[in-house]
Amino acid sequence: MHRIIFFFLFCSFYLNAQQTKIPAIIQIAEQEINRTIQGLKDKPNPPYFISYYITETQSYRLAATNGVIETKSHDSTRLLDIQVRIGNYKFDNTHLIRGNPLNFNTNIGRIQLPFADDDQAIANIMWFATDKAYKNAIERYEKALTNSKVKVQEEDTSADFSIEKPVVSIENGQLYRLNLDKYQDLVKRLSAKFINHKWILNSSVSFFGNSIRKIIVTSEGTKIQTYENYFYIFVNANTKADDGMSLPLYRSFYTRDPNNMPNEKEIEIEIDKLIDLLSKLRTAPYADVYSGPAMLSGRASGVFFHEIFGHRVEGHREKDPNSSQTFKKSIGQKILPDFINIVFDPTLDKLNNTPIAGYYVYDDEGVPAQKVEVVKNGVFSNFLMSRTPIEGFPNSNGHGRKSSGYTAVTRQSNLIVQSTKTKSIDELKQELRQIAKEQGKEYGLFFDEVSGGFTFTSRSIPNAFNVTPLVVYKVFVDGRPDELVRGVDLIGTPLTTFANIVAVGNDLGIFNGICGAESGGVPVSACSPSLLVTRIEVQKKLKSQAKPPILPAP
Amino acid sequence: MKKVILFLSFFALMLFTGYAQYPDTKVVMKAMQDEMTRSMKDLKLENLPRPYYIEYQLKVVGEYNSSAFLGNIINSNSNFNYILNVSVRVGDYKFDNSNFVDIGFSFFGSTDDEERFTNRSIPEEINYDILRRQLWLATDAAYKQSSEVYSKKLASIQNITRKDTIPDFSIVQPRKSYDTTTITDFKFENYLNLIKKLSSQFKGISQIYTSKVNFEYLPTRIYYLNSEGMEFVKDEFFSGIEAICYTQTPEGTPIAEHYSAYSRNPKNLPSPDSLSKAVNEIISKLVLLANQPSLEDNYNGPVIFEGQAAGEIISRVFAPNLIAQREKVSEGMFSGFGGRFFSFQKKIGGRVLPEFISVIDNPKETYFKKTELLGFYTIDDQGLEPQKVTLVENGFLKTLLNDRTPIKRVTESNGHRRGGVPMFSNLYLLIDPMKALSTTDLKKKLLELVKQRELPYGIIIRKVMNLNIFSTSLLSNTFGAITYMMDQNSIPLIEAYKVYPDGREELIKNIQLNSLSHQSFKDILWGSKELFVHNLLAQNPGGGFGSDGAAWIPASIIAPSLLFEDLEISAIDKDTPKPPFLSNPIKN
Repeated sequence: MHRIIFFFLFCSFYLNAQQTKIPAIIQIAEQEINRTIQGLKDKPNPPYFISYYITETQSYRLAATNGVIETKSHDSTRLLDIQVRIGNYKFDNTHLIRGNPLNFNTNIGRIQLPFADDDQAIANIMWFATDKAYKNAIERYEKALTNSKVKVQEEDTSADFSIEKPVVSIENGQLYRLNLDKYQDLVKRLSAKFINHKWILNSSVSFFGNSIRKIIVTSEGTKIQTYENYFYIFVNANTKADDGMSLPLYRSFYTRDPNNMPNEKEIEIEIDKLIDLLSKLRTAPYADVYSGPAMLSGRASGVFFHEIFGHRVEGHREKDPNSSQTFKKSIGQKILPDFINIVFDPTLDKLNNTPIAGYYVYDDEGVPAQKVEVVKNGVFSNFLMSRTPIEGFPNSNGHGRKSSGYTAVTRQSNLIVQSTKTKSIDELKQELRQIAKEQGKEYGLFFDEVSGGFTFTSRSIPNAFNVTPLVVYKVFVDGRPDELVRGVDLIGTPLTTFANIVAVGNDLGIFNGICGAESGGVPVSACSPSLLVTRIEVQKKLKSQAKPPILPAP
Repeated sequence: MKKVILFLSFFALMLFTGYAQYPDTKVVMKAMQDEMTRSMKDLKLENLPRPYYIEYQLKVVGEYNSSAFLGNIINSNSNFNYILNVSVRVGDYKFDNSNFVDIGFSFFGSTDDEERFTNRSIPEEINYDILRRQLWLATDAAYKQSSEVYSKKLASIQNITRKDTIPDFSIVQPRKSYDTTTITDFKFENYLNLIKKLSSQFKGISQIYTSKVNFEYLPTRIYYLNSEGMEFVKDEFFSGIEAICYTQTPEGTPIAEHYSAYSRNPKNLPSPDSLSKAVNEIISKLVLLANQPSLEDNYNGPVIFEGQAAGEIISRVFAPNLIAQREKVSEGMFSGFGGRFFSFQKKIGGRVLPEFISVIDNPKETYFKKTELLGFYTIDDQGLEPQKVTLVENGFLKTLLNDRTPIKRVTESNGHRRGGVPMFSNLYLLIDPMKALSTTDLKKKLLELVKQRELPYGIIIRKVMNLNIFSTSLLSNTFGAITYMMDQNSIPLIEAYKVYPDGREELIKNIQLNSLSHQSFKDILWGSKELFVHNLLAQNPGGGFGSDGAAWIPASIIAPSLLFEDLEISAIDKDTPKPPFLSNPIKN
């Protein structure tokens, strides 16, 4: 008897505790969502799903160049994104409309909310915006219905929205409120290291990042509050070769805790190395057209896999008949050597004691983060999935991600390349020379650094599918010292490059960045050992036609 | 309100962390002078002409803005941006790289990864070395592009016989001038509290779907030097409060009201009590309007524009024509990219208004009665002293407002370059006393005409939709629903009244003014004795693709009420957007 009473007491206390812990903004959101579902249920096209995604963000940006502050800003925002779905899970207003170049999604985003939990004001804003989102959805739903009737039967007949368990999880926490003055001296000091190198045209050291309180409330009963933080120190510098070629280099340092910054000495050393490398690049010879074996450093491999492979396993792309759908029929097929595994694991917050940026507890659709084995023993096994199902994959695996103002699509998390057999770096290099010799080449190539759409190179347009080599060496068969070359551009289908992996290093390169794609910037990491491939094709990079400055630096 | 494009352009609550002080004038000028001297002397590409003119402009743009809703702050920013603009001319005053439309550059910018030289963001902490370095990179890029454009322009005229051979750039006497007046006692907090309070007046009114109160204060300091020796440093200020509200009738007809007050110094905005009163007025007007009838038939007849209404139609339809616009040479005979207001360019000496009306632009006036004028300035963007200009004298067009780009009939600048283009400042529409009546008598005149034409009523308009508020706050806050009121040839009216022969007035809703052109202004019959000032953010008259300068430029129109003989007013006759499906959760 006592036991039972205790159990009941404990239960009700727990439930009450849960109840009292529900933040006011979530209650307001829940109330308005329910009122909307109830109020519209007798309409010809009632909404079957509504979600409110609210982000409260403290956003920091501090940049210095040549010892002085470039920009310094701190923003606070409280923004609401609304999604309304009409129809049913099988067919709703998000259904692809084929043959129509302009397909705006119907969600409404980045609506400003008061910082205070004023229930009248917030409810009014939610009401007015939801009405608009609902009307957009009706219009699109009608179009989608008609379109599906006039076009041929679709190949992929999977549902438009997956059925997932609602989640109630309220994390207690706080946003970081930083005083940027504390970081000012650091970035100024570091940026001052470039002062004496006048030939470096542009350089900067910045500290930037976000502390986010993320709230998801849906009509299915999901109520989530989590805190996510990511901060970077980012160094970039560029110069121009005499023939006008732009030569950029960058370094980034990641932390989740701005009170625990990356080691300054370590950053200083990296800056010195960067300056040295830039000066060598400036006078390095222009690369030749080449086809032959190559070694990629861990970091370069990581970026490669992220751009070339990672974006192709984002499930939602498989549904669009206009996309290349590279892997559509590849499930179960061997696409890489059998000693290679690739996993995406957002449940890991660090690897080898290094924090990795693609960590989160719930994705942006309220689905718990999951580790996904995409390639097992070289066999392609899984897509990354959001709540948009594709044929053969009816459920999300917690990879629906977005930033404020966008609609979630499948995005990467922590990409981790693993190998069941590894060699030392020296062995890898020797093997590179060996293969080059066998192929009758004078040298093999070593790609030490490459840039992609998440690696912050200045002035690069975020492009998910291109990789630009930045630091490349000729590794000579006869053993003479490596020679730095510039102006290397990759050609061919890089996917086949990876089918040619013959050896893997015993190191681990970790790259933390922010990936920009159609659902906005999301923090990710790409972790890989060094690789050796038997064949890579390069051409001369199309260089800028703009001459370097006419007059010398003042 | 003014849309200032920020480096980080999402709406935010920004705690002020920038540098409040302006860079030292001596340091800025020395850096500019040194780099300019070096560039004029040594900057030259092989086989290409060297620069004949270089211009540097450093703008320190302060921005304080905030929005409030139902007693809550929704966003606020306080931020300083440091912006460099470099202009390099090659050729000579008679023929240079300007006044040429280069399609590629205008639309896409250079395809090479060039350094920016217009609207170039530079570091906040400006010292001699930093500024010189920025100037060095920007001047280099500007020179290269100007040389390229110059060559293209030369090539373009090979195949045409030019009709006009007016110089590309007028010659002026350089001078040094300084007009700096830092406002040191601005407290952003006070204005945040003010708009919170004003916005709370909208609380508990369920008929209002959405509302907003906005505040903006933009102090700008400009440092300028050119190779002719023109030098200046000036401070310019702009400040404003605006309130908007919106609803729909049960049939879905969108109804909107707005109130705005602008000044240079934020201290000179109306008192909190006046503002509060004004906000209450638009609230009651909006609620009233929703229940008022519209017009069943189109109205063709006499119309009075009173107060703000007169100022707004002058600013939209008449004033932009008073600005000199140079016809540009373009590649491959492409043309038509200029603004829409070319009508007066060849009309100097002709009649553009009734003979009892004159128009003067006077940048030297600071106040009109108790209202601070927005168009006051002492140094124009090219360093010249602004001139008081008689634009229209007794109905006849005498000249146009101009900067250093000559046009056929206006070859010299009259110091009117602001916001990067020639622009009106404080525009006065003055009526011969013989044709000026008291407000009561003006209404009597209207009714006389109504009787003469056997019309059932006449129309008085007291508030016309302001173009800036429509295009900015109303558009974004209504998720575009307000575009219902948009039409090529019509202007939406906010407060319009039927005036019956017995003098009784009836407010009507959902009304627009059709086909008002600058020619319509010739049909003004009478004006009021009393002048009214309309402060506004006027649209850049240049307009069109690749146009220079700011999108919105503060200006003032001082005008009497105007009685037009015959205009067309009609109901907005379109499909209406459905009102919200659910009721407003706000309880009355």
